[in-house]
Amino acid sequence: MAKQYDVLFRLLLIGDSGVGKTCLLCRFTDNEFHSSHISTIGVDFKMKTIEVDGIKVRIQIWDTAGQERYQTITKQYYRRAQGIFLVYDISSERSYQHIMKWVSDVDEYAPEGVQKILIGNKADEEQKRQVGREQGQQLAKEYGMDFYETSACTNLNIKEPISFTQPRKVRTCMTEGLKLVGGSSEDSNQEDVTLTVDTGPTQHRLHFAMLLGN
Amino acid sequence: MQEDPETLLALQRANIVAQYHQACQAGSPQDLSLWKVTNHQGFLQDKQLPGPSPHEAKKHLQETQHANKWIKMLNSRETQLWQVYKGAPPQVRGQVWLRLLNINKVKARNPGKYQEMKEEALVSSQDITQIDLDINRMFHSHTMFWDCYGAASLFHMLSAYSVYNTEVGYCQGMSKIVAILLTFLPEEDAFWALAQLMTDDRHAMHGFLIPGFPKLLRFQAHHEHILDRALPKLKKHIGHGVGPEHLLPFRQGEEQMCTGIYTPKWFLQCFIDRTPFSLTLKLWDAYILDGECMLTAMAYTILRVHRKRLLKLPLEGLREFLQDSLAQPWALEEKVVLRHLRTSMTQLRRMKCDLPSPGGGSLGGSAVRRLPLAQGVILESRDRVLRRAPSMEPASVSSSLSLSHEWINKILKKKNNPKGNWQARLHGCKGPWAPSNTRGLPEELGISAWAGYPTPSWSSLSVPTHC
Repeated sequence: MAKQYDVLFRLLLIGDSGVGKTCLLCRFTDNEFHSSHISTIGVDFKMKTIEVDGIKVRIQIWDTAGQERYQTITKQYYRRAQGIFLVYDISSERSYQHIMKWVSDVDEYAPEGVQKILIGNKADEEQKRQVGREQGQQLAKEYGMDFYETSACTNLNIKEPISFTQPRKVRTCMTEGLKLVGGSSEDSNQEDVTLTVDTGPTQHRLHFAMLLGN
Repeated sequence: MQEDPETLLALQRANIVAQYHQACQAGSPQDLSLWKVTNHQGFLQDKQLPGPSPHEAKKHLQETQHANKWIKMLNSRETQLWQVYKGAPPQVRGQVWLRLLNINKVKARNPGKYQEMKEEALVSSQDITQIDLDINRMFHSHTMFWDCYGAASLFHMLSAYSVYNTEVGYCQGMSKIVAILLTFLPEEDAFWALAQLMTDDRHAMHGFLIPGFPKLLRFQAHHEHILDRALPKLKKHIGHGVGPEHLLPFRQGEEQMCTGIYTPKWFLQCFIDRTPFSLTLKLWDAYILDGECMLTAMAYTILRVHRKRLLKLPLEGLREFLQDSLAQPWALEEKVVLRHLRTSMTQLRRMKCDLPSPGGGSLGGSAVRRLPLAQGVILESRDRVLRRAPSMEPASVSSSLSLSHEWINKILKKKNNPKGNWQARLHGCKGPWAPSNTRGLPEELGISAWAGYPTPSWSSLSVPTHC
């Protein structure tokens, strides 16, 4: 049987309950949004294999339950992650404050030097905003994370912003055939370089917010 | 001005309580046009449904006649509740559950307790925010819960239980269990049904939902053991181990699924969302009748029935099949699935694998060691206690299905419920049921539960080391 992929990336979504982790996952993988999602029990994952000019990249995203007691189960999955998304809800101050706790869990259980990305989700709910954009940026800076504000609902910044943990490895795999388009992220995060790939007849545009360098 | 987090939390809490209070005052809107878009199971559809076809009309008529027979049976002395395996009509499901869980007795023993817990919860429950969050994102398409009124009973029940049993409190996943109970039982009965499911002898869901999930770990290990013995090829294909450490990056160019991913929903919620809704209800009938041994048997049944298909699927396909496709209508009729389930139960009993060993056994022990929290050990010991006593009844009920009816009658008629003393203490305690209180329970519970039961029914448990 032919090998189904060339590069595999395991990414993990963590954060408080109800911040929209599962919605982000569905956007990432299926480009769908359902307002009523059932709560995740334990862990689940979805995969997507993208072929980029002959290189098959399989992205495996692990979704976790947000309630604290499920950490007994979910923290076992930190170890194998290459990138971790820490998600909070911009309309919930509490979920933002808990990011510190999530970061310390990552430090404890995830491999050293794992790439962390802070995500402030539900950016479409501007009128309910409790956490300022600057607060997010500041926290991300403090912990050396990259930061995005996203909305699974309006598809803001989720044109598959997959951050790869080992840029060098990715670069080696993907140096050829990708069009480099600088700073096209709607979040105007200028440090990032977004790779835009046109996947052919479907005209579905895939954006990779590639975080280059640490 | 920025409010401090404590104040914000208190405000949030007050808002949530007020919201459900208003919903209760307002009552349920009587929009009868809704019924035009409601299917047989109470789920709202996108468009108006056509009237029943002649075939469906005939089926409904048969169902009504079937329900009448059940009502007669429930009123007679010869109650053969094991017939839920042949399918209990939805009209009598609530009654059957009431009987099987002995709810009337428990309710009579605790007059006014539910109301008391409900009121206390509004003031002191620590889980209100989480409960509200989960209620707001579930079963919106069901007529029971699409409006605030239906959701209010869900909210009150869950919050009341969170102060009634503070060791469990509220665990995500309970909202679905409660929703299923509320669909067939009035609020107070549903509360006691939940209380029974958590702590009664056959089900003891308590250990599944407390922090550390000791019972889940034990059941997962047991599930692995069953696969090793009965479906070794499939086990090899699915992957070893319950944890991600077994997710090997490359095994002949492929990755592996692991049982730890798909079993939590199966065991913690008894297959809710993982099987088609009508089948889920029938599985719940079987679960309420036979208890936890049904969980191991159904997990085995799913894999056994679909083994050929599963063997052909790669990791992605396995995930999709076990997590999503199983919830779509099966190719098999529900009656056939239930027949398979009974066959599995007999088979596992013969293999002496119908239940995992109690918490202190070899598997339970290893499960405890896997828990990094010291707390887990303590909790596991409590779970073991609850499990040891509980297993008496399920083993006896399920050890021989031909005896089921006789046994259930015995259990139902038994004047002194073996757990009676313990339950009276639990329900009678004035304050919340604190974990420290529970440590004193084990021996008493153990002794009282063992008393008065014939030895043969325990035989399946006397060889735990094999399983």
